[in-house]
Amino acid sequence: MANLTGGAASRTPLLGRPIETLKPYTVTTYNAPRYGGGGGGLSASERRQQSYATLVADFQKREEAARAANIKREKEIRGIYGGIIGQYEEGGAFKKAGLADIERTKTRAVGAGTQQMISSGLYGTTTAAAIPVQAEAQAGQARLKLEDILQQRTTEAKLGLAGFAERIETPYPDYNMLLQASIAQGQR
Amino acid sequence: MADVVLTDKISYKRLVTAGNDDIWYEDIDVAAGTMIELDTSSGAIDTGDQLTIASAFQKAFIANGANLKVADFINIKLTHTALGTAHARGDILTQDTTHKMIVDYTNGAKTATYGYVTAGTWDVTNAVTGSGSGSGFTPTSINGRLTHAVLATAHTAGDTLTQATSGATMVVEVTDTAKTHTWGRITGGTFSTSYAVTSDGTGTGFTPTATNTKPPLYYDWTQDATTKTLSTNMPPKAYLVSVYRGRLTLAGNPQYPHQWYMSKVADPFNFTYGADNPMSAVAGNNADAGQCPDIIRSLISFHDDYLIFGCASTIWLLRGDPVAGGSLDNLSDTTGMFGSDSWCFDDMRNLYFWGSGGIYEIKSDFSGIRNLTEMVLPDIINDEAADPSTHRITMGYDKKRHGLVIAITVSATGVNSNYFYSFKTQGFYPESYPEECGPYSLFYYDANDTTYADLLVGCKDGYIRKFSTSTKDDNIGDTTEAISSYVTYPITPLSETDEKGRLTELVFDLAGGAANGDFSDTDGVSWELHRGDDAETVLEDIRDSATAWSSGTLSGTGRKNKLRPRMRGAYMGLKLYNSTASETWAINRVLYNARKAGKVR
Repeated sequence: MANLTGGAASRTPLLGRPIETLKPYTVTTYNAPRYGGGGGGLSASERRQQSYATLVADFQKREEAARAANIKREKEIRGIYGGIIGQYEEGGAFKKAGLADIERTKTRAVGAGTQQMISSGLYGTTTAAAIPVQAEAQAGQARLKLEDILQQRTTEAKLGLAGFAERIETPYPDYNMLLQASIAQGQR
Repeated sequence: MADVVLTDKISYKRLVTAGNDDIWYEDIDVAAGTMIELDTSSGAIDTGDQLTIASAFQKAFIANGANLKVADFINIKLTHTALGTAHARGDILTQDTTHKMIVDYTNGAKTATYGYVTAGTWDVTNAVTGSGSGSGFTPTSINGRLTHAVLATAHTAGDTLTQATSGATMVVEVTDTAKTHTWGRITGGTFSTSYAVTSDGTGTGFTPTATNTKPPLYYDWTQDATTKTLSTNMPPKAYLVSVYRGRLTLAGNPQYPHQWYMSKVADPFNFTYGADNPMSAVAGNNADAGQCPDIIRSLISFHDDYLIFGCASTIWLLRGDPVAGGSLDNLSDTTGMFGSDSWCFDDMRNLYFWGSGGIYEIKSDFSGIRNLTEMVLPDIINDEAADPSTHRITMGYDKKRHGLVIAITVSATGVNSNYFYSFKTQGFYPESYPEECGPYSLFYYDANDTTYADLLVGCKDGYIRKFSTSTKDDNIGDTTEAISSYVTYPITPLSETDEKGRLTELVFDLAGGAANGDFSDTDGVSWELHRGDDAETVLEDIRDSATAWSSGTLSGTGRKNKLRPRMRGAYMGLKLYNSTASETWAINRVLYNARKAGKVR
């Protein structure tokens, strides 16, 4: 949090007025410059003029810094969401791992079923020949379920991203604050 | 309150037989024990070839090579034009709002629907709709049968019969050999027993004595039309059929003799394998994983408990259902079965069969396979020299006489060599029957009428016979043939080891008590005495019908006068026999006395 100071020695700072926006924007508290009495070689209006310019310049500078930080943060958060969504989309790591697990389970099921047929002496029957078909049917159901999970999680991630994007506000300068700061300075 | 009327629902057993290239069934509507021909005009069977029959779902399923047939005693047949979509098994057909029928089977051409009538009398006038997706239709005919007096000239297939007054019409399919039944397709009206029937052919007119619109049906056993589009997996040929756990089981396909095929549970017209369904049809063979399977020779099912595959040199046991948790185990690696009928069960669930080394017994708990002939008839296999291509071996359990009948018949001639295995004595009694009576099949028929409940013998001449304790000769059709019977007593030493003896007394005690008393009296019996210095020579003389040392004939009942043969020798042999027509004999005991008579030199 930056404190605005500057100009001649100040005597009495203005009360800090926090300029707040919704997160993630930074909060900047401006303290009115202190004004001292007498001397300096500049007229009062010239001093005021100089003080206004400094205030505006400083305001702008801090505004831009906050804006840049917020934009950077926005990009970072968007990137995180993008990464999450990418995991669940086609070609993503989660889907690859899920499909691989289904295939392993199917292989084990075919093997276990065949061994059961051999143990029971029914290896030479159409029942044994149908085991891969049954295993594939079960694997198909598992794949559908995987797709359903992927869809759910992708949707959740996208909704989160959408909510994030919805909460972004265009960082208009708070000229009211600037005006009040200027008025307060002029009154001195 | 209305009275409640209860009507008994009685189930009847019918005997179904195959003979003279035809199917016969017991027409209990006429009388128990009356066999009539089934209309097999659509495709006869070949009883000269191997044939097996299994009963299930109130039908008889016949496996006779390419002749896979159904004799159906429960359904009616509606003939119609080819349907676009056949009615599925289980669909309800409705005619005229009140006639109802459950579809059982539709033929491949979709021109005939078979089903069980639950309400109404079906006709060829009103349209029929189904509860499923099958096409509606109006029947063009319904199968029926007319009974009449013997016709002078039978009606020919294709003739049209017309009945006066009722206007009923029928297209003839066949008149049976006895010319007392005419089968056909009723194409209009309702036949009556009151009016005369004439033909547009040369057959004799008649007035029906009975009409039947639900006669037994006979048709090809094929895949149902509603399943045919999936696959047609019934074997084109099969010689073995059995029922196991509601599945019709086929085997004996010459192209794949090691393969067995089972239909879907409770659907004998569905052989679509591999469906992901515990009830689906299944096929397989009997071998360990990676091994060659054996040729199947018999299918032996015991209720829904197990099915035994008797193969050429192995025996396999299937427990449970092959699609739902069943198991197939090997019972024997060294013994096979002879043929489709060379087995039988006794009343204790023990299985007996003619195997590679003799006659075997498998206990009901499968605790072991025992060769019954190993010690007493060790060379029975070579002695009988039966070959599956020329002989038929059938076995049957005779519960009245407490034993097994094992019949070995030359298929071409009827010459037979048989054994009766008595459970009382646990001994084998060789016997043979006249060639006309050569057994082709043995079946214990547990008839509703106990008069006909007995072990039936299907004979070479086409007759069905049974054993009778009241007749004294064999029936060979129009005449009878005398029974020749004998018994050879064990060769008996007349003295101690290596000494001769002299037979001094011989007493016979014949059965019957006093003559003409309450007990059955024996007829006469002849006897022969043989002697020798060694037992085998004595036995050989008897077998070779050598001249006896002494012989005679006994008659009457009870104890006979003492004989004093004074026969000297180391061993004696006694044979009792009777070959006289219309005579039977029985003997209670034989007594003898002997004393030493010197050394054997």
